[in-house]
Amino acid sequence: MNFESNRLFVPFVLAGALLPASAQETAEMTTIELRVVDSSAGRATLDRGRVDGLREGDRVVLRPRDGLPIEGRVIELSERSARLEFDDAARVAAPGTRGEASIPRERIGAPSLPADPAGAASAPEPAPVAHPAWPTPDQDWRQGMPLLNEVPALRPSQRTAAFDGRWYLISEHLVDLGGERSFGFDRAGLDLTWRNAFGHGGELHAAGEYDWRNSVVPDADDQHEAGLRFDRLSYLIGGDRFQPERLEFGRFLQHGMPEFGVLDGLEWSGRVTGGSTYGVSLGYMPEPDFRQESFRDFQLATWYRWVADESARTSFQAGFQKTFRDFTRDRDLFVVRYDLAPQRGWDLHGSAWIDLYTPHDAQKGAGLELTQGNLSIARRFEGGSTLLLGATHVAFPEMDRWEFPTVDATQLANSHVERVMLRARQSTDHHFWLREELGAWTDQDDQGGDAEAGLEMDHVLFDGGRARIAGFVTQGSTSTLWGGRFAIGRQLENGSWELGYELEQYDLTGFSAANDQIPQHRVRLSRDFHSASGWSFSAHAEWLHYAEEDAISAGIYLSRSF
Amino acid sequence: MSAMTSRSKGSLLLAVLLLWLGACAIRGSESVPRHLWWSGLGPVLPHDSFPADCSLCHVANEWQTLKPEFEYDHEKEAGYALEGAHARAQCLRCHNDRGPAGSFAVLGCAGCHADVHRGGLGPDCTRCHQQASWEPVGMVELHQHTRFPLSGVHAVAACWRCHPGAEVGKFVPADPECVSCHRSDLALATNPNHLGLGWVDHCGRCHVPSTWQQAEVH
Repeated sequence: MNFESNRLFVPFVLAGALLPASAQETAEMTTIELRVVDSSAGRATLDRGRVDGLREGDRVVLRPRDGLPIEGRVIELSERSARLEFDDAARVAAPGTRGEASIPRERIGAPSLPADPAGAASAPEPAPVAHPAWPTPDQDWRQGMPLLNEVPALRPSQRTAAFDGRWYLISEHLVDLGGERSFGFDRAGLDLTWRNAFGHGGELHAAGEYDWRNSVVPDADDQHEAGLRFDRLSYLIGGDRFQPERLEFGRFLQHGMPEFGVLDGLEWSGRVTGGSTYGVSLGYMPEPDFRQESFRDFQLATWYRWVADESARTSFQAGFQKTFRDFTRDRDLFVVRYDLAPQRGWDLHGSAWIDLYTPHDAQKGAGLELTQGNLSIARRFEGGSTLLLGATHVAFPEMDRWEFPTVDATQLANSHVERVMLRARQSTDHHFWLREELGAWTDQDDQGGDAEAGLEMDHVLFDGGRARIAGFVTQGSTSTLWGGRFAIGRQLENGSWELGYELEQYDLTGFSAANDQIPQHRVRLSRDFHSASGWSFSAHAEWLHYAEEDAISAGIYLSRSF
Repeated sequence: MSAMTSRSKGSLLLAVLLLWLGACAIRGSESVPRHLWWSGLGPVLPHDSFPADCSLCHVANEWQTLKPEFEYDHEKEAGYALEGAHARAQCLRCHNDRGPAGSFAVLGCAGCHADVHRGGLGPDCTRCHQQASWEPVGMVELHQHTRFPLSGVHAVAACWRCHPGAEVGKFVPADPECVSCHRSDLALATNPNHLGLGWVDHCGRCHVPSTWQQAEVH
C-alpha cells in the first residue's frame, strides 16, 4: 500500500475504532448547554447547577467566540450555579461565553441533593407545602416575559440621601530633654460626603482640618499657629456609569488631572465611547500651604486622556494649564502622563511637567524646560516577589505664584536633583523575605548614593511574630552615614505592635576630625488598633540620642470611618 | 503659649461644629454594617452578570437582606487580595456607580484615592503610607535614601519646618544648603552679626547640625 492509500485508510480505521464508544456515549450520556455568568482568571461561574445535573468533578468545555476552547472541571456546586476551574489558569472566559458539559443521562430529573444511602430508603416523602400568596402584583407582566424581572440599578437620584466619610485626630509632640526646644501639632479633621444631597443625585463633599502647631526654639520668636482649613467644599454631579459628563464646583482637588492642584472654581469633563475622557477647568488656585489662602492665582486648564480600551490598562494623558498671578500672566505648564498596567508583565508609569517660558520669564529665558519628571517600572512575580525601577527629576520652575520654598536667583537658575533607584523584594516561602535597595542621585553641586539590604521574617519568635533587620550606607550632600536597624513585632487580630532600634553613624562633611563623627540611636515603640466598625488608632513613642543630646517624641492617630 | 486670637477662637468653634456634624453622620450610619444591605440604597449594582442562584447572597423572601453568613473571599474570587483597611471597607466603597472597579484598580491607589500630592511623588504610595491606616511612617528611614539624611535635630523636626506645603501634601525637595531652611535664623543671628560679617554659607565651620546648641566653635 502506498502512502496516498494510507492517508485514505487511516480515517476509516479510526472511525471504526471510535464508533462503539460514540454509540455508547449517545445512549448513556447527554449534553447540557450552559453559559458563563461571572469570571476571573482561571475560573468562571456557570448558570447551571445541581438541579441541572452537574456534579463536582464534571468536565466542561467553553467555546469563546474568538480563541480556542477552554476546558475545566466543576469544583463547587449550588442548586443553580457552579464554579469551574480551568485547566489553564491563565485563560479568561468573558461573561456570556457558551459551553457544554457531557453528563450521564440518568442525572436528568434525579434529586438535586446528593443521595443519602442510609436515610434514603427510610425517609418519608415530604408533604408538599403550599406557596404563600405572592405579595406583589404582576404589574406590567405579560405572557412571554420572564417571571423574574430584571434587577435595574437605582439611579443616585432615586436613593435615600446618606452620609459617609471619616473624622480623625492627630497629635504629635517632641521635646528635647534639655528643655530648650519643642515642636508639636494637633489636628482635628473631617472628610464628609453627602450623597444625593438635594435629590438630584449629586454629592456634596466637605473636608477640612483644624490645625494647631507650635515651634519653640531658643533665641528666636516662638511660633504658635492655629487655623481652620477647608481642603474641599464642593458639589459634584455626574461622572458615573449613568452620566458620562461630570461637573464639580466649589473647592476641590482637580479630578481629571490632579497635577494642576486644588481649585476654587469648576471643572467639567466628558467621557466618549471607548472610555477616553477630556475636560476643562477654571478658577482660582489656593496656595498649597498651612492656610490655603486663595483668589490671587487664576488658572485655565484643559486635558485629554486616551485609553486603549474600556479596561484602561493603557492610557496617555496630556494637559495644559495657564495661570495668572494678580491678573498678570504667570505660568504655562504642560503635563503628560503615560500608564501601562498589563494583566501580566511590567507596569510602567511616567509623568512629566514641562514649563513653557516666554520672554516674560526673565530668569529662565524663552523655551521649554522639564521641571519635574517621574518614571516607574515595576513587576510583581509569581510568589509575591517584586522589582521596582524608578527615576525622578526636579528643578525649580520660574513662577510668581508661591508654590515652592523661597529660592534665590542662583538656585532658580541652577538647582536640580535627579535620582534613580532600584528596589527589590524576594521570597521563597512567603515567610522569609530578602530586600534590597540601591539609589544614586546628582544635583547641581554634588552626587551620591545609597544602598540597603535587609531580611524580613514572618511567623518567628511567637505566633504572628515578625522581625526585620537591615543594614544601610548613604552618601549624602552633607554627610556620609552607615547603620543598621532591627525590629520585632507581632500581627494581632485587631492590629499590631512593633519595637525597633536603629543605630546610625554620621561622618559630617567639612568638619574637623574631632567633631565629624556623630553616633545616633533611635528606639521606637508603636501600637496599632483597628476595628471592623471603622475605628483606627495608632500610637507611638520614640527616643532619640545623638552626640550628647536626647529627645523624645510621641504621637497618636485616631480615626473613625463611617 | 501666646493668647489665642479672635480668629483662632472662631476657627476652633468651626472645628467643633465640624466634629459635631461628623458625630451626627456617624450616628446615622450605625445601622449599616459592612456585609448587610441597606434598603435605602436599593440595588446599586446591576445583577446581569451575577450567578442565577440568588440564595448565594440573599436571604430567601427578603431580597434586601444579605445572608448573615455571607462572606466573599476577594482574593479567591476576584484574584485581588484586600489588605489592611481595604479588607474592612464596605463593598460599595469600590463597587459603585463609577463603573467597573477593575478599570480604577489598574490606576493603583489613585484610582480610588485622590492624589493629594498632585502626582508629584509617583504611584508608589506604600513607600510612605501603610494600608492599615493612612498615617505615614518611616520618614527618617526614607530620608536615608535621599541626599539629606536626617541627622541630629533634623530627625525630630516637624516636616513642615523644611517642607512648607506638608500639611496639604505638597512635598518639594528642599535644597540641602543650610540657608534654605535657616534663612530666618541667619537673619536673627546678631551676636555676632552673621549677615554683617558676610557669614552666609559654610555654616559647618562653626555649627554642628546634630545639636540643639546654637554653635560650637571648633
